[in-house]
Formats: sequence, C-alpha cells, structure tokens
Amino acid sequence: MSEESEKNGKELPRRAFLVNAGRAAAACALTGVAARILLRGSKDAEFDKPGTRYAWRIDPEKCVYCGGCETACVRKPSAVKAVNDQKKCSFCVVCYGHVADQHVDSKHIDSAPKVCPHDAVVRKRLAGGLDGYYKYTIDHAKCVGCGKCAAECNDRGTESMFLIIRPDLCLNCNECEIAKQCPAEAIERVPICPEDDFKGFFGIDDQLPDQS
Amino acid sequence: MTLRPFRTLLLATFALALSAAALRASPREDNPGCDTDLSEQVDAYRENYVPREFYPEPPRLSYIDDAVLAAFLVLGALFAMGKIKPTRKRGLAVSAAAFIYFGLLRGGCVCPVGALANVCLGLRAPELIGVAVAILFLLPLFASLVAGRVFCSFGCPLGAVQDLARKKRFLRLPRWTLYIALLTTSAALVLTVFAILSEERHFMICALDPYKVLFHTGYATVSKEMAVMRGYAVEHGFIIAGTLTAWLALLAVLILGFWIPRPFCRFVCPYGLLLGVISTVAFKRRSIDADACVHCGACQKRCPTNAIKIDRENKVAKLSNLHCVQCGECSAVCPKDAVK
Repeated sequence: MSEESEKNGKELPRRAFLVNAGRAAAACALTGVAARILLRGSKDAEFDKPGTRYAWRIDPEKCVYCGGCETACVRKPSAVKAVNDQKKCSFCVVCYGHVADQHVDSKHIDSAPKVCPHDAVVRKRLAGGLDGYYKYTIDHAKCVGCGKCAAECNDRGTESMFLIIRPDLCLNCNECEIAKQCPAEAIERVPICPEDDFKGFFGIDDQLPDQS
Repeated sequence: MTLRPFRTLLLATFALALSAAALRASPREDNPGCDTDLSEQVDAYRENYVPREFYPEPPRLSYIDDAVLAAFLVLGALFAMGKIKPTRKRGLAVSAAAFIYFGLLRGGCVCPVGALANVCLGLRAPELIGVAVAILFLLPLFASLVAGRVFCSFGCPLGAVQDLARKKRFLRLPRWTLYIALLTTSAALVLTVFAILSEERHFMICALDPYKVLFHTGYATVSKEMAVMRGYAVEHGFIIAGTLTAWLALLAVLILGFWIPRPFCRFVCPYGLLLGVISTVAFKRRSIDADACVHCGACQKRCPTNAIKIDRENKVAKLSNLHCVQCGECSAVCPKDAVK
C-alpha cells in the first residue's frame, strides 16, 4: 500500500491509472455515503427534518430507581435529575417521597427527617390550611439523581416522581456510562426533545397522542 | 343536699371540657380538608401547570462545528501543500487550538473518529443520525482525498492531545510495527462496525478512546458555567468527569505517548486507517524527491508515525502516505527540501 517515491516526478502509466481508479473509487464511496445519509429516503416522515439528533433518556416505565444514575454518569453531579409530574401528583399532606417517617404530625413535617439525603424535595402549601394540599417540586441545584424520592413515590405513592436525563446537562456521550450499568436497561436513545417534568409527554413520537 | 355541689362541679367540668374541645376543634372548621372549593383550586393548578422544559443546545452548534472543522482542514491542507511553512511551533499552535475548541469547549463528542460508528448506523438507518454528524465524518475524508491525512494533525482533538504531550526526541519503533499497526487498526475498524450494527449498538470506538475523560471534564465545566450564565439552577464549580480507572488509563496512555508518539493514532484509530487508505490516492501526496534526497535520515528521525524509510546503502527513500499524518516535520527538517 505504501507510496513509493515517484521517478522524475512522473508516474508510470499503469500506476497513474491505478491511482486515478483509486481516487474515483474513494470519491464514489464518499459521495455514496453522503447521499445515503443526507438524502435519507426513509419511511419515517417525522425524522425528515434536518438536524434530527438523538439523546439519552430514561424510560420511566422500566426504571427501578436503583440509584446507579447518581454515580455512573460522567458528570458529577449527575445529569440525571428527579422531577415530580404535577399533573399526576396527589398533593398529599404527607408525601412518601418527602418525609422518611409518614406517621409524623403534620405540624412537624418540615423539620422531620427527609427521604432525600440532600433535602432537594421542596414542599410548598398549595391550598387549604395545615392539612390542605401541598405541591412538591425538586430543587435541581441540590438533586444528584439518586432516585430515592422517586423510589418511595413509585413504591407506595401516586407514582408521580420519576427520573429524567436533562438534555441540557447531558453531554450526549456516544457511549452512555449510565446505560452501560443500568440493571433495567431503561436508558435508551430517542430523538432529541425538551424533556420536561410531565410524565405523559416525553416527546417520544410513537407514544404521543395524535395532536396534529 | 350533700350531693348538689358535687353535681354542679361535675356539670361544670363537663361543660368546661366540652367548650375546650370545641375551642380546640374550632380552627379546624376553616380547614375542612376535602372541601370542593379547595379541590377546584388544586384542579385549576393542575390544569394550568406548564411543565418545565429542559432544552438541549440547539443543533446549529453542530453546524458551527462543521464549519470550524472545515476551516481547520483548509489550514491543514495549506500546511500540507507547503503554502504555509510547517514548523513544530505552528503545528503545536494548531494542535492547541483544536484541543481547546473540539476537546474542551465541545467535549470531543461527536468527533469524526467516533462518528465512524454513527455513520455505520446511519448507513443502515439514515434517520438515526444527524446531518451535522455525517458532514463531520465526511469532511476529513474528502480532505484526505485532496491533501492526505491533514485531519490527524490539524483538527483531531485526540491527535492534538497526543501531539502536545510528546517528547521532541522520541523512541523510534522498528519498521515491522507498521504491519502490527495495520493489523490492530483493521481489527478496531471491524470491531467498531460489528459492535455498532449488533443488537446492543455498542460504540466500541468510544470505549477504546482513552482521552475522552479529559474532554468530558472540560466540556462539563464549560457547559456548567454556561448554564449558570443562562440562569439555570446550577452552581459554579469544576466538574471532574469519568472514573478513576478512566483517569488511570489516560495517565498510562499519556506516559506511553510521551516516548512513543501518537500511540492511539497509530495502533488503534480505525478512522485513521480509512483516512490513510484514501490518502494513498490523494491528489497531493507527500513524497520524497529521489534526485534531491541525500539520504541523511533527518526526516526519518522526526517522523512521529514512522512513515519514512531511508536506506542509505541502497539509496532508498520511501514515504508511506498510509501512515503519514501530514505534520510536516520532515519538510521542515530536510536540508535539501526534498520532502514535499
């Protein structure tokens, strides 16, 4: 394969022919690859818009809240954050994802020990008095993605809390370290979308209700 | 008669207890818990709630990457064609620029080397990869058809790290290692293609890359600072990405690369093999002018990829474009300007 020095700057005819053939072959191959990808004569019309990219996501149906996301992600703190689906949350006085001991008096909930080791679950009064309705949100500045709150909420609560990989934090590594170690194989690549804290939506095209 | 005060006392305590109980219960009256008004309030909140969205960075940044890569490649082609005189200092400056832009600012991912896997996937199902990634993959290949493996020296973040962290006077490996390199890179290419087309869609090439922790660390820190500037709920701080094993692997490869230049490039990189194969038929190939050459062997000593073979006794001077990364050290050092 190695290129020998050319004698007097002129190539032998056969050699020149081979080189030209090689050039043509290489150009054809590259153009072929370009055409295959850039023209994309695919069946899925929704992928046709240019710049469609893929991003990592946790399937909330498969996730087992093992806590691996906290440590496995190349980012520290992890790009995985817990969110609470406000459309699904029951706004309980006592939240399984919030306080560790659910038998605590409703007066002392704010000072009671919490499920979250970093106290990232924020409890705010929504309506009514002491035993009224409370909304729960997760402070992403504190959240490390350990999934303890989501585990409790899905175990006994209304299953409104879940984990997401925030696309704005995710480095979008070709090889996701979390996906490599996920015991439930819940990490998958999906078309990129603004992953929000609403479990029903998620931007996955085949699960979306027909809106258009 | 005697019981009467007792009875009144009993009645009084009973009344007191009742009123106390009523008093205690009274604050609960304005907090009935399951009032319809309140649940309407909650329903209204639920209805009007707009989910928070976490937008990824817009894909136009990837097209900027393509443009920057193209600029690097044009610069590299100018170097390779001799329009700009290649010196070690200039080469290092371009390497540093490539390392800072593609490595630290953009995270070294998707790089054209890793894009090999993406493009393999894309050939099977084009909708799975982006246009920007395909352009990123194809640009260096087209450049190599014009002027050889200019991407390796001018633009590759991995090449830049290896170039920056090497000794000026390094160890020269024997010639037969070139065949080993050919074998290992081919194996890496085959492995990459098979791994990505398998069920697991494993990005083998990214697993083989030891330098990614460096890039991830830089990018994570930069992106975090960007997020702080945009007003997201994140704090300032340096992020160290990757595990201890990854950092130890990086250290080992960097130490190895200090004496043996470009260890990843030469013995692992499957993309380098593709570039090299196309380079052998490039329009501007690097070659040694047999008439001008005095077989001093200076270029051979400086070639980081061991691509030059000088045999003083038999008057043989060969340069393999398959392995040459167009760094231009040979042209700079040649006393007779025979390497072009």
